[in-house]
Amino acid sequence: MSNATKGAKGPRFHLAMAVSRAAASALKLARRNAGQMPGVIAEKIDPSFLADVDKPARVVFVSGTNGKTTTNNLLCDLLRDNGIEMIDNRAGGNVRNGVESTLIKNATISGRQKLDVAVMELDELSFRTVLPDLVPEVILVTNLYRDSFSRNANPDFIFSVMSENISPATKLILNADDMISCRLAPQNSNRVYYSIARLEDDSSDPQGIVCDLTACPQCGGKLEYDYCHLRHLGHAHCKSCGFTNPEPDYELVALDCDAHTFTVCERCHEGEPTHTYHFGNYSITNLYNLFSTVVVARELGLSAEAIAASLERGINVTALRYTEKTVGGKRLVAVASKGENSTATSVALDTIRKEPGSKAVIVMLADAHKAANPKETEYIGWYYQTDFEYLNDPSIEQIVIQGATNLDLLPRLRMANIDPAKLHMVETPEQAAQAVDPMSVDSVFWAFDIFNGGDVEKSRELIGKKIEEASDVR
Amino acid sequence: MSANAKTVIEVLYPEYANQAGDNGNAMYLRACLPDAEFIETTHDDVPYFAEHVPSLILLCGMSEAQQVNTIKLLQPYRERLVELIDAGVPMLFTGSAPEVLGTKIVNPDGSETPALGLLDFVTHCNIPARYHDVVIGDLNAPERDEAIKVVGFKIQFTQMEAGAGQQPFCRNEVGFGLNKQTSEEGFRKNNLMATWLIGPLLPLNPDFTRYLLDLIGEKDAPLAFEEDVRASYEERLKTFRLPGMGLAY
Repeated sequence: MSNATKGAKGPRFHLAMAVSRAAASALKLARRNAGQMPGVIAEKIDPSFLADVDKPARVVFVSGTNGKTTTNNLLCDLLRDNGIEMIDNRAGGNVRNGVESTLIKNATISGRQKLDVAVMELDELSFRTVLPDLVPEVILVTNLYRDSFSRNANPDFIFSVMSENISPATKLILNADDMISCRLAPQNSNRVYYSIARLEDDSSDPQGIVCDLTACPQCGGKLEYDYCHLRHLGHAHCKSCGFTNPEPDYELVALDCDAHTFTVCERCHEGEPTHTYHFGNYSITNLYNLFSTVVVARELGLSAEAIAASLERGINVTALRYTEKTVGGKRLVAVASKGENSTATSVALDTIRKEPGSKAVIVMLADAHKAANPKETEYIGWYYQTDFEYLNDPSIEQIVIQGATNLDLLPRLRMANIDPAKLHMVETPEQAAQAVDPMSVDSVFWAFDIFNGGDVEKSRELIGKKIEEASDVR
Repeated sequence: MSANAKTVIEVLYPEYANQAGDNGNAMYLRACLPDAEFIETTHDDVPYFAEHVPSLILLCGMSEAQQVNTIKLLQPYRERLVELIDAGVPMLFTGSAPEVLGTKIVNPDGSETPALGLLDFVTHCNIPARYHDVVIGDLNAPERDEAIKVVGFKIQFTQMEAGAGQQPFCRNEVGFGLNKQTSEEGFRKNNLMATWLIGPLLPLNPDFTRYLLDLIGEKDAPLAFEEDVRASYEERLKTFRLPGMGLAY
């Protein structure tokens, strides 16, 4: 266990703490979320604020391209359910100023930290700005995929940024099924690996039109996949040098979707005990998020029994990016994904494709906030790495595209061989609602950028009214 | 060694040279040329061009580590590439792919990676500095009376320092070129075209794609989804000219 660290506190620090706390209080009085503002103010006054501020005794960071928000929230819920008082950065943000804001919120006026545990999400690129000043006890990395190219370039670059800034003193909890992130920070020998064993639904090769790991990361030789659970996550070996996934300390050895349970073998513990846990709605992404949470909790010292009891009590993956309403017997389901993230968007489209019944799909992937600025244009290259081919499915009978990048989405969907007769292009959420005929399908789905939630709700409400009106007429 | 009656497009290392949506170029060519043969040369393969003359060689953007790999893989075929360039075989290098063609890549720590030396320029890799821009450029093709307007995006860690007297791929009226101090973008040597314009360059540029198809002997092939791709092209020609227009990130 790490000890709380005390920073060097000069006059600048005290002024920064006082002013940023006052600003946070004022925003709270005004019933506004302070977000990163306290951290921004503190750093303006004391540029080394993060180094200077005291740290909680135990800090856990959750990072990775996909799943970090869900996993971080779940971990917080699980720890709190077990009586652990802690701070998190759900309101503050996952970059340096957000971490600072979280620590300001937890500080007394003298700068002492009130609670001893912090569990925070950390943006991958922010490893370079946060970790030099804050060495966490534990970092969980869920996975590394290609992300926003304009911001994060490629996984190699993000891998370097993360690796270079991880302290040997930090315990790394890594996904052994991801041959990219499992190799992070080779200078660090304090590593715990988790892995999901072969599953019935696995594919033999990575899924998707692009793959983030095709060559051996050690020698560049041909990588042969044994099985894949999700995109490139799975098991593979190099035909040239034999490089393969690390042996897991925690292995998910059994999955029972009917009973909603999964069983974990703790290979790192004497006697290799197994423990069975409950899960809610199944998806492979939910399973990874839940499993990694269990592993972190175990490494933080929670008993398997306590974790299992929490999960039985209903602590589970919160469907942040999946919301469902039913109107007149028809499902209206919104599935969000991060903009410019082709992996997350492809997984969302795949989820929609696999849902039962006939569907209309409204695609709202153009970032409405970016579109509101006439001096900026959104990068659309990622559409060519996104599996829009999943929409070319007989169960999908109508596709409506809405947003500022329609003119780019349309040819991409045509290249995915989608029947133009199914395609409608509209400008506004209201027009999207008009374009859909909900009575001729079982469900309406939205595939949308996380910032377009307002537009989704506008069109969902209108479609709901259409269904109600049609039902009244009948 | 043989030339082909049929159009043969060699896509080099598509398993990783596909960053930022550059894979959209091969995707669009496949849509335009359903009867052409596409050869995907992967890491362990002998390139098709080593023994044959493809109609077009395509190499798209990749990570820095993959550039080192690619240079190593193509080094044994350097003289063959010189021969094909001199013979006027069309080649298109996009995104970060042109960097393998220069004399060297100067890394952020000052170390140097020797490149293929097919073009006279040095790449300065300035990680973590990242350069973003939108571009409208004029491609002056000898076969055309008027310049072809090329639109696109630039997102890169690098700035290039070019030797004198080389022909650019295009001259930008909007956006930076090989580096922030020049509007000359990319290189052209015979029918080798190398540009740092990133992502789906061909679907974004119907006029340039038409030119490229003509160049590879597919004058009669219609542009796929021409009405749709032209609508986005025309829109970019308008919006990218707005003063202060930039890339959101």
